[in-house]
Amino acid sequence: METLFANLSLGFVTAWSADNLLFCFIGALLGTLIGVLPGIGPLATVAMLLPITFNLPPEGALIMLAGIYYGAQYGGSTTAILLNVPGESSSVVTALDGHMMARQGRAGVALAIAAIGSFFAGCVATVGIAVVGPPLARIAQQFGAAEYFSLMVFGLIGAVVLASGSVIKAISMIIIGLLLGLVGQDVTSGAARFTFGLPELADGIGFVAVAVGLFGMAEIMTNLERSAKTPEGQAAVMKVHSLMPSRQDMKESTWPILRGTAIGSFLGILPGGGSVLASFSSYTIEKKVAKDPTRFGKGAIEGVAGPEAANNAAAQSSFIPLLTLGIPSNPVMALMIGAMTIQGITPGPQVMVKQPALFWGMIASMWIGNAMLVIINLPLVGIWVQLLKVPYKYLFPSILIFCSIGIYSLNNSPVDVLFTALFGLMGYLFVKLGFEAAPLLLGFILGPMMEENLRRALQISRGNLATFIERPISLGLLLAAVGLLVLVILPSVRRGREDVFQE
Amino acid sequence: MIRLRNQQDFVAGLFLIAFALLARYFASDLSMGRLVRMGPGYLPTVLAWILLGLGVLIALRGFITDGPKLESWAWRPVIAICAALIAFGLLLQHGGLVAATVATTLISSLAARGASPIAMLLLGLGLAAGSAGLFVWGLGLPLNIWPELG
Repeated sequence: METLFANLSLGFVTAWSADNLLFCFIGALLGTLIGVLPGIGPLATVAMLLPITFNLPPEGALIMLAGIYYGAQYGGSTTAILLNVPGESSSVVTALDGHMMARQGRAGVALAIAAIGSFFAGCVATVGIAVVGPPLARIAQQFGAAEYFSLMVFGLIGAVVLASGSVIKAISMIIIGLLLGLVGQDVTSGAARFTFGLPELADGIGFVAVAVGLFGMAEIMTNLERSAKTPEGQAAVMKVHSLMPSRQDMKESTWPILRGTAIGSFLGILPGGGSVLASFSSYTIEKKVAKDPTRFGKGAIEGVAGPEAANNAAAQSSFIPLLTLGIPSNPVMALMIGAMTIQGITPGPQVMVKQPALFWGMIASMWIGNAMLVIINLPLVGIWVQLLKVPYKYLFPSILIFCSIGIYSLNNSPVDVLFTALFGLMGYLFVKLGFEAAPLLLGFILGPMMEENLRRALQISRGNLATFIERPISLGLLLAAVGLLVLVILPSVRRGREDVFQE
Repeated sequence: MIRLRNQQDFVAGLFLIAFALLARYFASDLSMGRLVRMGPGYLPTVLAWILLGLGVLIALRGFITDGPKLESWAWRPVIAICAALIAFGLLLQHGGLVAATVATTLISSLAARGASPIAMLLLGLGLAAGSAGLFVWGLGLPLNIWPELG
C-alpha cells in the first residue's frame, strides 16, 4: 500500500510539471478537436496525431498521446450525441439514447453525464492500473521466450475473437500484418527481406505510414464516398441548453456508472477487449436490469451513463497489458507501442523498473487527462458545436496537410508520405473486400517480436517444438487461444456474438 | 449447379491467394534454416503458406454461403487523396512548404464535388501560413518554407 502511494506520488510529480501538464492539455484538446469530426474515430485520430508527438521528450510524447486518446474518445461521444453520427463503433451505443436525449432538448445533460461517467470511470481505472500493474509485471519478468510467443498468439487470437466480423478474414489480416512486419533487414542474419532493393525499406515499413494510411486516409476516402452519395445539406446539429443534470438524473446514473466502470475495467484488459466491447456490454446489461427496458432507445439516461463509463474505463485499463507485458490489447495500444519504440522505449515489464518516472508519470497523467477532459469539454462544448458545422470539404484537406507534415518530418524523407498513399489505397481495398484493418496493425507490430521469441525459444529447446506445450504457462496460454477459437466456431456462441454487435 | 453466392468473399480470397503467392515468391531466395536456427526465410514462407490456405478457404466460402456483392469503387476520392499525398511528398523537399501545401490542398479538393477553386486556394494559403507558424517556427522542424533556388 505504501509503495502504491509512493509510486503514484512519483507519477504526479512527473506529470505535474508545467511541460507535461501542457502536453496533456494540448493532447486532450487536439484529440477532442479531431475526434469530434464526424466519421473519424479514436483509432484514426490517434494515428493522425501521432507524428506531432515525435519531437517531444518520451514522457511528454506518451502523456500527450494518452491525452489524445481520451480526447478522441470523448469527442466521438459528443458527435454521437449532437449529430447522431457515431465516429466509431464504441460511440454507436451512446448515439442510441444520447441523441434521443438531445432531441428532447437534453443534449447538455447527456454531454454532462457522459463526462461525469467517463471521469469517474477514469479515476477508478487509474487506481486499478497502479494496483494491478506491479504484480503483473513481476509475473511477466519470469516469462521466457516460449511464454512470450504463446502470449502473443493468445493476444492475437483473442483480439480476433472479440472483434466483430468474420474470424477467418481477421486471421488472414493478422498474417498479412505479420508478413508486412517482417519487411526489412533480418536482425539475426542481416539478410534483406522483401525490400525490393530499396534502401528506405531496410528498417522496415514505417509504422506511421501503415497506421495513418490504413486508418486515417482510408477513412477520409470512405467518408468522401459516403458524402457524395447523400444529397448535399447540413446535418442538423442539436442545440445545447442546460448542462446541469438534475438530482433525478444523477440518481438514475449512479448505478449504471458504477456497473459500467466495473465491466469496462475488466474487459479493457482482455485482448481485443477495449472500449467497443465494453460499451456494448454495458448497454446490454443496463437494459436487462432496468425496470422498464422499453425506455431504452428513447432517451434513457442510463443508456448514456453506463456505456460512457464503461468505454472510458476500458480505454484506461487496456494500458495494463501494454505497460506490464508489452502486448497491445487493441489497435490503439498497438499505436502506443509504435510510439514508444520510436521514442527508444521497449515496452514491457522492464519499463516500470528502469523508467519508473515515465511509467508512473503516464499513469498519473491519465487521471489528469481525464480531469482536463471535463474542464475542456463542458465549457467548450459551444466550440465543438460550431466545428461540427464546418463543411467536410474544408476539413479534410486540412487534416491531410497536418498528417503529411507529421509523417514527412519523422525521417525527413518523402518515402513515408508515399507509403501512406499506398496504404491508404490498401485500406480502401480492405473496406471494399470486407476486411477489418485493425488485426493487420496488431500483426504488424507483433511480427518482429513474435519471430524473435519464436527463434529464441526454439534455439533454447534445440529445435524441439514441444517446448511450447511442455512449459505450463505457455501451454495454458495456447490452450486458452484454442479454447477461444473453438468457442467462436461453435454456432450458438456465434449467434450470441452477432446479437451483441447488431444491437 | 455451382453458383457464386458471395462475390465479396470470393474476390477477398483471390486477393489473399495473390498476396500469399507474391510473398512466397519473394521469400524464395531467402535461406530457410532449420527449426533450431531459423533462417530469414523460415517464418515468411510458413506464413505465406498459411495465408494461401486461408485465401483458398475464403474464396471457396464464396460458393457456400450467401454474402454481399462487390461494391463499386469511388475512384474520385481515392485517386485525389493518393495524388495529393504523393504531390506533397515529392514537392516538400525542394519546392518548400508553401508550394507543397497549396498543391496538396488543390489536388485533394478534387476529391469532393462543389469546392470552389478560389476558396481552396485561400484555404491552401491559410494552411501554409498556419503550418509554417506551427511546425517550422513553433516546433522548429527543419523544413524549407520557400522553394530551393539553384
